[in-house]
Amino acid sequence: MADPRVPSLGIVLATDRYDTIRPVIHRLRRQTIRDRLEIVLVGEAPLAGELDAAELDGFARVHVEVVGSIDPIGPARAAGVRAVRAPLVFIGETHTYADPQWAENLVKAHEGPWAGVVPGFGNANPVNALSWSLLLLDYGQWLHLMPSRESDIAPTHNGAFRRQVLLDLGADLDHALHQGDRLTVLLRSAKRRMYFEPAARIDHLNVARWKPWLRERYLSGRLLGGRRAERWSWPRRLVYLLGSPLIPVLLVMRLRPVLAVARRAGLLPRGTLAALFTAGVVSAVGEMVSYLLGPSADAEPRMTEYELHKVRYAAPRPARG
Amino acid sequence: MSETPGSPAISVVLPTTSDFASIATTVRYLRRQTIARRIELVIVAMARPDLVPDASACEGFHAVQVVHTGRRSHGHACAAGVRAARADVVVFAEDHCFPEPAWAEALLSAYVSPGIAAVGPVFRNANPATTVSWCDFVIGYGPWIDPDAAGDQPFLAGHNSSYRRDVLLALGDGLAGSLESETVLHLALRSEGRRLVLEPRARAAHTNFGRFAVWLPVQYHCGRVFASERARRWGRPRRLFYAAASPLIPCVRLLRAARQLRGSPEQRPSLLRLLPVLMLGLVADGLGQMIGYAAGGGGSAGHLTAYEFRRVDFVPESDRRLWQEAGARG
Repeated sequence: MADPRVPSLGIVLATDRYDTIRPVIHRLRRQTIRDRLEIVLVGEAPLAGELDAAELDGFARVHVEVVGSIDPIGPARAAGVRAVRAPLVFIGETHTYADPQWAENLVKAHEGPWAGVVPGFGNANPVNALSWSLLLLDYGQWLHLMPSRESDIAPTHNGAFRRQVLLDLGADLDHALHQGDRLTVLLRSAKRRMYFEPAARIDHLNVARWKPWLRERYLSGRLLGGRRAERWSWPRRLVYLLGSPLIPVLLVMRLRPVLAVARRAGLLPRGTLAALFTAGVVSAVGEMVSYLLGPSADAEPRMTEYELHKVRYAAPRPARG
Repeated sequence: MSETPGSPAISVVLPTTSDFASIATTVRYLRRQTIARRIELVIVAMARPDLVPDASACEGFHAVQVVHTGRRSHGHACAAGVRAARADVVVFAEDHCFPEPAWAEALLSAYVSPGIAAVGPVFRNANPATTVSWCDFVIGYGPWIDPDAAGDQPFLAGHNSSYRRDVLLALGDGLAGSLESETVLHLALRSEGRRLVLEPRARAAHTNFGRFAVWLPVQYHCGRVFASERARRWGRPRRLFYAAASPLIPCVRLLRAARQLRGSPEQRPSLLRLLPVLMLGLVADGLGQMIGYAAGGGGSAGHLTAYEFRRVDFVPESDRRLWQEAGARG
């Protein structure tokens, strides 16, 4: 029996304002194990004064971790992880909305030999092919309809981890929680295993407007390639530069089983495959640029805007006239 | 500033982001010109308001003037130099391109034919020891390394060609942008029926990037600036079409480079030796063009400006002798 005084799962939410994460809190209030959840909000000093006490009532613990800046967001999230008291920690976002049994299933899945558990993802705004393409590219392998299994990849956000596993990364944790594949690399090298539990469902909001969609995809490629370029030798960068045109094809190939399942379930609107491929191309171009030039100084702050305020870009622009 | 009565025959616009020492080698080569006394030297000081030319190093020119622009792009600096120049013909020079003595005289003599808007020189590789330098040279100056290719051209070398000054001034506020990517300017001049001529008696030795890690990003930025300037007035469908077709660019340019290497009498490395590095450079250029067509120039013009000057910092140690040897002779 778990000690009722110690929360089971800490949820780290980096945000600029309390209003930004209010919808996320509303979903967390409906959790079956709400009284075992710890909410750790990470933000700049004014955040502490914006909290809504009534909304935050009923959780095991609520804490505001004040940081100088949430941009870059990786170190801010790392500060949140260090402030968590629960043995399990979930790196949340401003635009993911949990099903009522999400937390309970996530905690239960950690009874296995796993360093972390990835939830099953649904689409919070299944409004068009653009939105679906991004969900599939970023979280398709963990679509809630797919069977549970061990996962090769550890997502830098929307994943749950044993807190000690993250703390064992030491100073690397700040970089590991940036966008990119650093966390996966570090956990793999430490022989940590991840598990995908579709019963812990969470819905992810996606960019659904053309221009922001293109920009966000380009930036995601730029950030991933930039992180790699920082630590890779020139020969390796060049191999990936020349191999990058294959990325869109490989992405679609890799997602074929997911596409088949989603299509059978009638989820995907017309044009999803074309959008998926185009997004893959744009992301590959971003990666290529990074392999050439190295990391971009302004990619992270531009991406942080999409990360924090995805809701602004999640509805298709209304038709004119 | 020193000045001889009358008008200069040609103004040499020489920009720098550093002190006078950074351009001293080029100035020494300019002093050796057969018509040095008819040359006005226009030094564009982009970052050093305190730049003062070395009086003894500048002796023998018709006139010398310094134009201060502050930290702006290469195109803005050149445009400021053109506006300050007083000769009817202006020619751009670089801190890493060293003209032979007859260079200015030959350029000037080509303007006797009618309808000529610009005259460009031919080039040889000043630092031919490395593969990277050759690849940079072939990509940047390939069409103008063959002296047999004299006469009318679709476009001339950037940063080193001469122009009738009135042709440039007619561009008005668009001058600085046009000088960011001269190839686009040349294509526009040709479409207006003006002539661009390659003058093989005007020869210069160009020092190329010799360090891979610098050269490769430069290819990307060059491609991006070129495409964004070219597509400045295009509609979105056309820009996207060109962006989508950009993966073909490296192949097309590789074929051109092969022709340029084959048709030259000068001792050059084989295409096979250059191929891997050359292809990487062309891929980087193609990628830059893709982004330039799709999303504009971004900060690439600024990045290029940072790389365009003090070439001595971007070549291997062994190539730095080029600047030292010139000093010893001067």
